[in-house]
Amino acid sequence: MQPDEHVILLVEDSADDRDLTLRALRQNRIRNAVVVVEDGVEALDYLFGRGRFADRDPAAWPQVILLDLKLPRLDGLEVLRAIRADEHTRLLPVVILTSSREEQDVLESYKLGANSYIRKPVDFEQFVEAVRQLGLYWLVLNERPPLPPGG
Amino acid sequence: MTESTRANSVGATSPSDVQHAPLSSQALRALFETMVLGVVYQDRNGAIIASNPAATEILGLTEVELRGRDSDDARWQAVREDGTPLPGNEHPSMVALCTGRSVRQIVMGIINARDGQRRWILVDAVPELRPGEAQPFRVYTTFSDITLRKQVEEELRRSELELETAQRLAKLGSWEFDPRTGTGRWSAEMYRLTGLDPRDGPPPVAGFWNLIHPADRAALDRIHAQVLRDGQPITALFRSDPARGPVRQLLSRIEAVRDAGGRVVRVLGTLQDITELRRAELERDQLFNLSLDMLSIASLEGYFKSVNPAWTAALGWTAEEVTSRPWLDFVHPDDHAATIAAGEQLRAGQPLWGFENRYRCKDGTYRWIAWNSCPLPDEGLVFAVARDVTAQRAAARALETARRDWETIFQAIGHPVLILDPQQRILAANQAALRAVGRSAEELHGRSCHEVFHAPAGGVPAGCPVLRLVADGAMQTVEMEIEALHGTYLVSCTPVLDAAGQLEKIIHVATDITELKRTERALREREQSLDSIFRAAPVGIGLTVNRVLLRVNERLCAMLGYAAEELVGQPARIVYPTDEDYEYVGREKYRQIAERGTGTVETRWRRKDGRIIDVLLSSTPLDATDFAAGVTFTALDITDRKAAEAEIRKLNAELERRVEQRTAELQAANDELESFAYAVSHDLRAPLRSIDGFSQALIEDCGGALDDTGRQHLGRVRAAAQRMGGLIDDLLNLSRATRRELRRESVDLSALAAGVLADLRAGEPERAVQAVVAPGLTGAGDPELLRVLLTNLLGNAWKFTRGRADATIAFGSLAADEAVRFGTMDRPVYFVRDNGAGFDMAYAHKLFVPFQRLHRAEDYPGTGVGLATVLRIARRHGGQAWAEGRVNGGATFYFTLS
Repeated sequence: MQPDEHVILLVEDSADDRDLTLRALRQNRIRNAVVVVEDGVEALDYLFGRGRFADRDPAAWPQVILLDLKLPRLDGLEVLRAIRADEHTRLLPVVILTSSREEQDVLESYKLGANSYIRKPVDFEQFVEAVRQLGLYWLVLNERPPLPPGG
Repeated sequence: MTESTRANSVGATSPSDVQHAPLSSQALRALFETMVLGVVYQDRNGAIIASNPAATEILGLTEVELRGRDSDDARWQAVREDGTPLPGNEHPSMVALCTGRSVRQIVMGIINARDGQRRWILVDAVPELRPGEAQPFRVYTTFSDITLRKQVEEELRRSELELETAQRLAKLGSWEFDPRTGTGRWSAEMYRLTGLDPRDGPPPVAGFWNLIHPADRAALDRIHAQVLRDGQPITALFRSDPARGPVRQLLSRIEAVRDAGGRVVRVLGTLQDITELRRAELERDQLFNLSLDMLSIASLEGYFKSVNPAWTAALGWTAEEVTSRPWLDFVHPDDHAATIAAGEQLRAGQPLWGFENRYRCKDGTYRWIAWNSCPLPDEGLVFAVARDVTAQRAAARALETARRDWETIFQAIGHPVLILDPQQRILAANQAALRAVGRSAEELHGRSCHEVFHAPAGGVPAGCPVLRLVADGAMQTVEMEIEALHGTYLVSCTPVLDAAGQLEKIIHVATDITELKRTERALREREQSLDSIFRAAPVGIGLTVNRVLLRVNERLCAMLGYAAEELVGQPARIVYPTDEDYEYVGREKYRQIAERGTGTVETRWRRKDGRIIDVLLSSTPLDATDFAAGVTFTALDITDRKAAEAEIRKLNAELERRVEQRTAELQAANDELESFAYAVSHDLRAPLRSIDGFSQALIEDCGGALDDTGRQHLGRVRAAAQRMGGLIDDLLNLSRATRRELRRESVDLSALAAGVLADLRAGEPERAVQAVVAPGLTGAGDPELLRVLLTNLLGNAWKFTRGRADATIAFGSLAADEAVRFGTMDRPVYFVRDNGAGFDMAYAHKLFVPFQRLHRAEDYPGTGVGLATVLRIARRHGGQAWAEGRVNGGATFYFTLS
């Protein structure tokens, strides 16, 4: 399986953080297509083929979802809960990518079934390194779970 | 008999004289002379006319002596066979002469004239008649000496008689039986035993069986057959047939005699009636079994052979258990030596009387046993009668204990006690009495009590209770001065009477009441002073009995506005405004008194003028066990104090309300702070990331368009953004150290410190720092906060040793003697020590204040929040944090937990 055949779903409302994340992915030569959505509602629309994503290929599940916690409309934890509640998506790898280090957020994320929790550091170089490791693990090393076709 | 005598006698009575001798030939003569039969010829008158040598021999008389003797001669001393005298005219020769007929085979006894011994002779007398004459002219008598035969017969008869007697006495009959002929012979006793008639002779075998108990016949038959078969002697016991009278126990011994060919020719047996014997045995057994004493027969080897049931009753062991083990096994270990010695005495043949030892019962307890034992050394046996004397011994011991107890009590009584005889002489004095007069018991014995205790006056004291007791016999109690004892005593004299009711002894107890007298006096004095206090006291005091006022002091009257006379005798109810108040006080007061002896109650009283006053009542019963004896109380007018208290309460309530309000405000502020912290953590850091990220992007993307100065500026922008990120993180830590709910668990501080140091080393692998972590340090606290604390301290140490090539960091805890320096002995003092830049102690107080820094950020970057966080974490654990240092001399940071 070619890593770049599968998309990365990036859920991020801040334009700066979106660009910096894309930059960090690029710098690490991660060439998977990145689908960017800006809030929780859009994230779920994409995953379940609703709204503007109604024509999405239902068989193409993202390789990994990078999920910010603080989102307009529907926050990250709500999105995570919805992903884990649906039988089609409950096995998708979800990496929480946030600036919060509140213990409560970390705990809640893991409780809801996040696969990793990465706190975005201020130092961009450190962020690039974190994204590198994330890509290495989730896009190269991790064996995807067998997923049913999307609904 | 001599030859000459014979010659003489032959010569004297020549056969030629026998004119009508039928034979006169030489041969007959020789026969006459030599035959063993005695022959005597008597004439028609009975006088002896001739005799042969055998006759002279038998009769002990010479022929000459015989000649002319007739049958009537008393010297014959003739007797019949049964021993009765035989008169001369009845001698066989005389009977033959008289009757003219021969007399045959008569046994008679005569005395041999030569040795004087009885001779028994068997006599034939034959008369001789001349033809034509009716009367014999001569008779000759032949006789043989049967003395020997008679003696043998006599012996036989006597021994048979003896045997029969013996058999009768032993109730033992004997019999024999010839199986070939089927005939037998019974001894006389057999007939007696069986009740058969001796004249009928022994019964046939089948007839004998009829004599036997039907139940025993088969067995006896079998035995009989067996004896005939193998000839071995057999003894059997059987019973007589009950149809033939009272059943008797018969013991039969049977034996067979065989001929050379092995054939049984004779069966011999005895039959013994052992009914009496068995009864005696039974009676003896009965005596043995029913005896209440413990009877036993023991071997001298140390085992009981038999014991009676009294043993089981006394000790619980069965007879089998007692006989299966050496007797010493049952004896108390402490009595072994004495018991072995007693056994030796018995073996030496000495009887043992009254020996006592302890025997173990089956239930494990021991009983005292007294023994009378009699040895039979030849039999190797001991007969012993034993008795359980435990109770007697206990009684004796109890008596001894009682005597000792009495003696102890007598001696222990703290007051002088004397025992006197009716003449007032001292028989015994206890220790207290001896001590009081300083004499020994021997010195006092027999002396008059007056002389000893009332010297030097020595006389009989007035109202002496001893003399009064002697006079009227009644117990006396008198208070008196005793000179020898220098004090006032209560003397009591008690008579002890003998069995006849006569005064035997006097028990004289003197109780020292000197102190009591003094106390009485002191008490009276104190009562007086109490009375003055009562009257003058500044509090109300009163006494109630059954809640009726009996005494009141002036202050109480003043409080209530009554005169004393108006209160005394009144029920306490009159001072209470309501029934509720009155009842509440009664209830509460008695409840408290029951609990702790006094009752303190606040209540209201109504004065005579109607005004209500607040009163604090404190009540104490005179007798805690009997409230009816009266209750004293003090009453304090607390009306003013109550008013003050009400004011204070009002103020307190106001204060409380304000505190609540402030707390709510504080809570709101805390909540705000919390959301602020959250916002800081999230929102404040996002722009910083953009600043840093895009600065880097600028350098990467447009680096070529910038000169060195431009790139330096961007570097500074990034450094500033990162420092602010660190500052925000530290502030969050500090806030979390305050807000976080504290967990308490045992934390391995050594492991935590090692982990933090490993992280630091990983961050700067190029630095050579010698880090020492004391092993096994633990502390109770929140693992997350303690990790933050150690991260700050060790991070500081790491940071401030940067300039040193020999950087050393140590984490440990102080020994007790070092901790004393800080006045902290009850808990461990942990420390992080480095040999880095150190600090000036003059600024030590600023170290733990947020944002205070002692070093320039250029030298040692930092936010100034870390140590504030450390202190806050230590305090939240109930501990403290402080530091010691010298500029360029390193620093040590200490902290304690609760």
